[in-house]
Amino acid sequence: MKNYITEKKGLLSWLFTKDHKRIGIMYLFSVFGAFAVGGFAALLVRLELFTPDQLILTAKQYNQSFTLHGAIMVFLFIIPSIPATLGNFILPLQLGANDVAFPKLNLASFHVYILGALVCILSIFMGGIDTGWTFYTPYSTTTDTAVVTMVVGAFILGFSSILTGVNFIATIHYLRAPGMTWFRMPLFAWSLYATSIIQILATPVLAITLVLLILERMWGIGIFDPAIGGDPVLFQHFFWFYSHPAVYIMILPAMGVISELVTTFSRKNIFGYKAIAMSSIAIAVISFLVWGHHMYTSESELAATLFSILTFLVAIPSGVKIFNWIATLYKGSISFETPFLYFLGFLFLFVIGGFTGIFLGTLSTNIHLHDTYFVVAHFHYVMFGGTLYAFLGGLHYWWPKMFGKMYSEYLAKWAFWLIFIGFNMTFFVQFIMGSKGMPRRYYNYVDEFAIYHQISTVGSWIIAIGFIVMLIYLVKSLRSGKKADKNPWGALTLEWLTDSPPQYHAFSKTPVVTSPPYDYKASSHE
Amino acid sequence: MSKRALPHYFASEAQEFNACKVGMWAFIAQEVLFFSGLFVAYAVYRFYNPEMFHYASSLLDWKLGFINTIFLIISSFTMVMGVYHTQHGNRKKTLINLGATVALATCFLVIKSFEYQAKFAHGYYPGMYFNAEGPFDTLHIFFGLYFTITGLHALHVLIGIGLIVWIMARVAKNTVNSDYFTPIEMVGLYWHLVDIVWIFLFPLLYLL
Amino acid sequence: MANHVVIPKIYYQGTFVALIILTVITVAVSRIDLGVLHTPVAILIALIKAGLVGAFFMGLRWERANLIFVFGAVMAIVLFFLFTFIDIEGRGAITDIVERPYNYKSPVTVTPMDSSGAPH
Repeated sequence: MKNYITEKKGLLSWLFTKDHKRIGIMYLFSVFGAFAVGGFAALLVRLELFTPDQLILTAKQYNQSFTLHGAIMVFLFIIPSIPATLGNFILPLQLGANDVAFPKLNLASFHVYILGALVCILSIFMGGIDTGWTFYTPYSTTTDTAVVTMVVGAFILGFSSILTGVNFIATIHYLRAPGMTWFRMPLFAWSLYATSIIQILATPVLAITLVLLILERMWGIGIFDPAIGGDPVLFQHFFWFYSHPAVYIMILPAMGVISELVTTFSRKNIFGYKAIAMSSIAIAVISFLVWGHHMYTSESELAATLFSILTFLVAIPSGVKIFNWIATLYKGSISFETPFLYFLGFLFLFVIGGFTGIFLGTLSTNIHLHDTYFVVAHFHYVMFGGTLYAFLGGLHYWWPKMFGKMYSEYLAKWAFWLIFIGFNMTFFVQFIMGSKGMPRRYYNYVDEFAIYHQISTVGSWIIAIGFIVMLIYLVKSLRSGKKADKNPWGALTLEWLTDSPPQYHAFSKTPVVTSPPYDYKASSHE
Repeated sequence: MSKRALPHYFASEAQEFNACKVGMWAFIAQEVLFFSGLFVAYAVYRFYNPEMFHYASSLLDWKLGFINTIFLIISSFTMVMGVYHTQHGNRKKTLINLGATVALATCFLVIKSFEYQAKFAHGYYPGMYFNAEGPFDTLHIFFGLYFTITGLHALHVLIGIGLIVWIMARVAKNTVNSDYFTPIEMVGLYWHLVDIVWIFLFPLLYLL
Repeated sequence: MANHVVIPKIYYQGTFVALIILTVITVAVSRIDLGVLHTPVAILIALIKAGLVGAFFMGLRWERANLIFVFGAVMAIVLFFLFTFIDIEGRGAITDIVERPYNYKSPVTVTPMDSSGAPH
């Protein structure tokens, strides 16, 4: 029987497909390509920091490397990672639909993504960019590096993100299977809905910010550059109005994946379904209230105080989710397969990331920790330990569905532990050196920080080995993996009703939903 | 007249129409947020330089702005009438109304370009090319904003003209008709948004 | 296309007339000196006009569900303005803090304003 992979042949049948599954797969390979480039830049940065003085990079190359790492990881990897790959592939199947609402738009969003990625890569060859991924003015309007090219790339990528958001909103509103009410929708779909809200309300502000930045740099219209009467702090407001919600664009889908993992591998109905669903929406709303906590040292005291108070609100819906996941584990029949390990890793690392966020959200401690490695470590615990772990967990969870092949559990566990140990080695010491006062983004540092930096750099190598192991067993799985069943994990959501891999028309008969998504009790009675 | 085939992933035409409508509204929300950044920038610099903004807006010709506002309002009306006649299956009246919309939008752009030329003649160029005298050393900020905001709005008008011409072609070929009028409604929504943005820009730039 | 609301023409014509009248009013009130109310009145009229376009031309009156997008967008904009101005109110312009004309590459040739305040 033909499936979506064998349905048509040839490269063009992939590049111009309107099938959400194929687009998801193309996104998957693209974001992993971006991840490799961004990861390579990170390894360069860590290697340079192995010694207090110059090792392999000049100061300018160092600045370009960490900017490249930040910009590529944020705009090309994390933001599209879960929504555009797993979301594209899984969301319609989970809703019992045969495609997203606008397949042409979906393909356009992929093409726009590739165009944006090419422009970003072009900027590397045009001399790189050394502003950091935040493009703060006035440095970004005066430095002689290829700021405009990179900013145009980010602007184009923003469009791709908006189009995905529009598509998912329409899909979730109107393509749910008959009988699937809003509160019978899987939690992954809920989290993507919340993500899409942020994508359409915040991303356009990034677009206009970047347009203004380009105009400022090329024509000096006088908006952000203080030398011609502009206000550089206004740029920070504009930038963070998008970029704070953007970190929730990154983490919300991750939380959705985690909700799926925890219920499947405990074989138990999720605890507090409505609370988890609503907390996703709550996070989306709160994300618009807290952007000023990135600007404690530049904004007025009144604003900083207000933003500090509001920032603590984020802890409430996040805490709701964490406690509900833990409560789901209680008396479940847990099996420790690879996706579940990533769930545990997520829980452990995300809680550390979340708690250190409380320190940073507190105005007074933030003044001490501002722009130190503490912030770097916090951010990586949330983004790497949170989003990337959930992405990898989701990838291992849905891999049999996407490709119809199993992977080696043995090597997958090895990769998990290598990445987990390497990650903590790399970033936990950064909390310590940050609290001791090591500023972020510095090229050289005083000798007493050398030991921390060296531990961190060795950790980054262990992470790299972990990902190489992962690459090996995933490629092996594609070539000669054991054939996967329709439903290898015994999960209940609709995507597992389709073949592995699904046919082009995944559902020949539209499924009718009669129960909540994770009703393990009812299904065991059948 | 051949009946259009429903895409395989939709169960009914109503579902398709509703999905498109929701998608379009989501897109409109993002357009609104895109322009909001410009409005915030305008408000902030007006707050910093109230006298300069008052002086600078008197340099713009409000009569031209007024005519342009009327043009856009009429074009919005002809747009809805185009949708109305499509729904009632009157192809000729649809095309007349859409043609009028395109004509009015083009007039808008022509007048806008005359306005720009008049400003350039006084040396009111955007940004670093600004080359004029004035009682305020921040005068170039107003014109930087003016050209950015109206320029981005004009870009949206231009895109709108393209979309309406495309719709006219589809109406002429009868692939948009009283059985299937989703595309024309979507373009209509977009066009009204362009109108709404200008409704705010006119008083803010020309009158205050 | 079945089950679709087709809106009577009279709503469109009424909206159109109202919009033209309100535009004239906008210009008229801007010629009168309203003091501090000058800007709020202009924005209020613009909001009414935008509301009319949204309700009738864009059909929100018949499709209330889509109001959620308008609501979301408006709330986001309100927050954008609110927080930015809370900061700026407490801080003042950057050009007030640094000593002017500190490194100020002004492209404007400053001339004194004549008594009427009119452009030259």
